[in-house]
Amino acid sequence: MIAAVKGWHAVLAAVWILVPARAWAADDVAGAARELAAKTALFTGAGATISASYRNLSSLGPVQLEQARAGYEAALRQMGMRLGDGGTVEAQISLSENGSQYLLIADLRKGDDRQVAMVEIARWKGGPGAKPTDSAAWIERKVVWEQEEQVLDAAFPGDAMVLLAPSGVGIYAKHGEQWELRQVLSISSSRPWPRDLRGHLSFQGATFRAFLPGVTCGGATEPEPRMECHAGEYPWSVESAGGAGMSAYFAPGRNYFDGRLSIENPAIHNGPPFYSAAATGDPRQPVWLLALVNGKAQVVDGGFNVLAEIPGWGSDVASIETRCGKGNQVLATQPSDAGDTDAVQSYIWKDRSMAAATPAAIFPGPVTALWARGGSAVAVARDLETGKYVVYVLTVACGL
Amino acid sequence: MCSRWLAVYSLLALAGLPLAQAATRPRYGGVLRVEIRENIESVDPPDSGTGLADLMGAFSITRWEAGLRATYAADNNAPGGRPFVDAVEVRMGRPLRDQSIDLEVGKADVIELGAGESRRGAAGRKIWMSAPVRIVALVFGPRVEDARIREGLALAVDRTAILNVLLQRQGEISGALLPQWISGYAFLFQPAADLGRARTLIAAAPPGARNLSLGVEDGGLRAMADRVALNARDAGLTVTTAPQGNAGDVRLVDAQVASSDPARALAGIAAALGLIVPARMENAEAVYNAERAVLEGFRVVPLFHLPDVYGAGPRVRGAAGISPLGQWKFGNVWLEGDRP
Repeated sequence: MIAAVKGWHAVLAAVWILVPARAWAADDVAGAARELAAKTALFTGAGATISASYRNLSSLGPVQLEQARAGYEAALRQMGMRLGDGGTVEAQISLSENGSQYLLIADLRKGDDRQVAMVEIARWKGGPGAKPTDSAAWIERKVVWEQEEQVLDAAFPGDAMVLLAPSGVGIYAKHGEQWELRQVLSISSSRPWPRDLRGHLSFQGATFRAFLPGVTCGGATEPEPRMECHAGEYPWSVESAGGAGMSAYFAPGRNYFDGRLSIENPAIHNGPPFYSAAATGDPRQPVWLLALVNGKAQVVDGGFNVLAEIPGWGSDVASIETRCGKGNQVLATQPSDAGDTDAVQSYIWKDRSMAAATPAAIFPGPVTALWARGGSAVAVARDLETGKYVVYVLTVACGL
Repeated sequence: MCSRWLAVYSLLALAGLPLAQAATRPRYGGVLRVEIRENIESVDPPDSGTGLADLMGAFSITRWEAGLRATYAADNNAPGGRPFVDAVEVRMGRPLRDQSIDLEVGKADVIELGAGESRRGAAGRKIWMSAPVRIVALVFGPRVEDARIREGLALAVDRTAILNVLLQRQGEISGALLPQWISGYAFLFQPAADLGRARTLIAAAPPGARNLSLGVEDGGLRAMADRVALNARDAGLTVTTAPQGNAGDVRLVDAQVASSDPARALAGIAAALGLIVPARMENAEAVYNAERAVLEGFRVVPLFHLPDVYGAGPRVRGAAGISPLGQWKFGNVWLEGDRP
C-alpha cells in the first residue's frame, strides 16, 4: 500500500497529515517546520530538489533555528523531496517574529515564480530564572518567588508562604524545595485599585490581616485557609522590629499614609503624609523614621518631635533586627524612577543622624514594596528585564 | 532589528495594565503641560486616533477650544486607578521650534520632537520614543496610469540619503506598509534603489507622462518632498512640489499605525491611504498576501517607518508616557515637586 503512494499522492498525503485543519499557530518550532515543509511541497510539486538557506531574524536562539532546519528538511525528505545545492527551487527560510507570535517563513523561488509561505508559532511563556543573589553584599538577598502579577507583600508564617497580590491572598506550602499553591483567597474592590497599588500583611500566628487601600481583610492560614474582607477606612498595622508598633491610616485612592498615626496607644497624631515608617535605635525607646511624601525622611521620637531630616532617600523604609551594633537598623530604598534599577541600603541611628551600616544592595528594577518582618525584611522588585515581580527576603549579614 | 524593538518595548507592552511604580513613589497632583503641532479644529475633542483621544478613560475633558487648547481632568474612577497628575493641559498648533523653547524655559512638560532633535539632549530632559509607527509613503493618484513611471520613481528615491541626512537616522527604510515589529515579514519587501533601471523605465514612457506634481500633506515632510523631486529629476522625471493643500499627481503621506495586530494595522493604514484590503485576514500569511497585493503595481510606495518622539521636561517622572504605538499614557507619569 505504502509503495503505491507515489509522487503527487505522496505529497498530498503528507500535506493532509502535516497541515492542521484550522489556521492556528503551531505549538513549537518543529511542528511549524513540518507545516512549512508541507506548504513548500504544494509549491514545488513532487520530487523537486530544494536549495534551502536559513536565517534568524527573531530573538530566539540558534537552537530554535536548528530545530526549524532539522524539522523542515526531515519533513521534506519524508515527502519525497531532495535537498541540495543547485536545486530547481530556492527556499530562503527565515525565523522571524512580531509582537504576538514567532513566524517561520519560506520565501520560495522556482524560475520566475515566487511564493511566500508562513506558519505562526505561539509565543511560549517563561523568562529567565531569578537573578542570582549578590554574595558580596552585606545585605543578603534571597529570592523566594517571582510572578507576573504584582506582589504587594509576602509573609512566612510557620511553614507557609503567603503572598498578597491585587487579586487576592495566595497561600503556599513547601514541597521539597518548591513552593506549591495551596489556595487563593480572592479580594475584590468596588472601586478601581489606585495606580502604584500598595498592600500589607500583618500576622499573628496563623491569623492575618491584609490591608489594601479602602479594603481590610481578616483571615487565617490554618486549619483551613479562610478570609473575609470589608470595605472601609481602617488603620494599617505598620509593624516594626523589636516589638514597637505603629498604626496609620492609608489615604484612599492614593499610595501614601495620610499622616494620621498612633504609636503604642490609641491617641491619634496628625503629621505630614508619608509613604512608609520604620523604628530604629534602642528597641525600648525607638526613634521613628518616616519617608515623607515630599521626598525627605524625617526622624521623630515617641512624642513626634522632629530629631532630624534626611534628603535623598527613596520612598520605602523598613526596620530590621540585626546582631550587629546596638539597636535595629533601617533598610531604605534609593531615589530612582520607574525604569531604573534600585538599591536598598541599611542605616543605623547614631549621633542624631542616620549612618550607613552596609553597602547598597542592587536590585534589577524598582523596589515596589519593602516591609519589616522582624529579623528580616521582604522586598519586592519589578525585574526590568522580565517584567516579573521578584520577592526577596533580606537579612543583614554583619560580618561579625 | 525586530527583537531590538521588542526588547525595548517588552515592558511597555503591558501599558494597558497599571504598573507598580518606582522606589521613589509617584506623587499626586499638578498639571502636565503638553504642546503639539497639530491644530485640531473639530467642534468636539477627538475620540479616536493617537494623542488627545488616548487621554479619555483616565481623564475627562473639562475645556475645549478648537485649534488652541484643551484641558483634561483626572478621573477618580479611572480604570487602572486615578492618574497621578490632576490635569493635562494641551496647547495646539505650536511649531516644533516654539515647543523646544517652551520645554527649555519650563513652560511645557511634554513636547513633540522633530527628526534629529532626540540627539540634542538638554540636561534633565527625557526622550520618549515609540516603535516605528508612522509610515511615510508615496501614493499615486489615478492620473498616473503608466506603471513604468510609478516603478521608476520608486527605484529613483535615495532612501538612504534621506534617512541619514533629513531624518538623522531616526527611523527605518522600508518597502513594506507594516513595520517589521508588527508584521514579522516586512523584510520580504526589500526596497530597491536602482537609478539605471529607473531611467530606462521612465525613458520608455511617453514624454507627457514624465511630468508630475507632488503633493505634501504635512508641512514637516516638505524637505523630504524636495529631495524626492530631486531624485526623480535624476531619473528623467520632472516633479514639481504642489502648493500646500493641493493633492498632486502623487502625494507624500504620513500615516499612523493604530494597532499592533497585523490585520487591524494593515486595514487602518489602507483606509488612511485610500487603499483596499480584504475585510478578513485570518493569519499572518493572509495579511502578507493582502499587503503584497496592495503594493503590486506601485500605486503606493513605502519609504520609511518613523517613530513618534517626545521630549519630557525634568519635573516629569515615572514610566514612559507613551506606548510602543505612540499612544499617550499620561496617567502613568507624575510631576516632581507637586504635593498632595
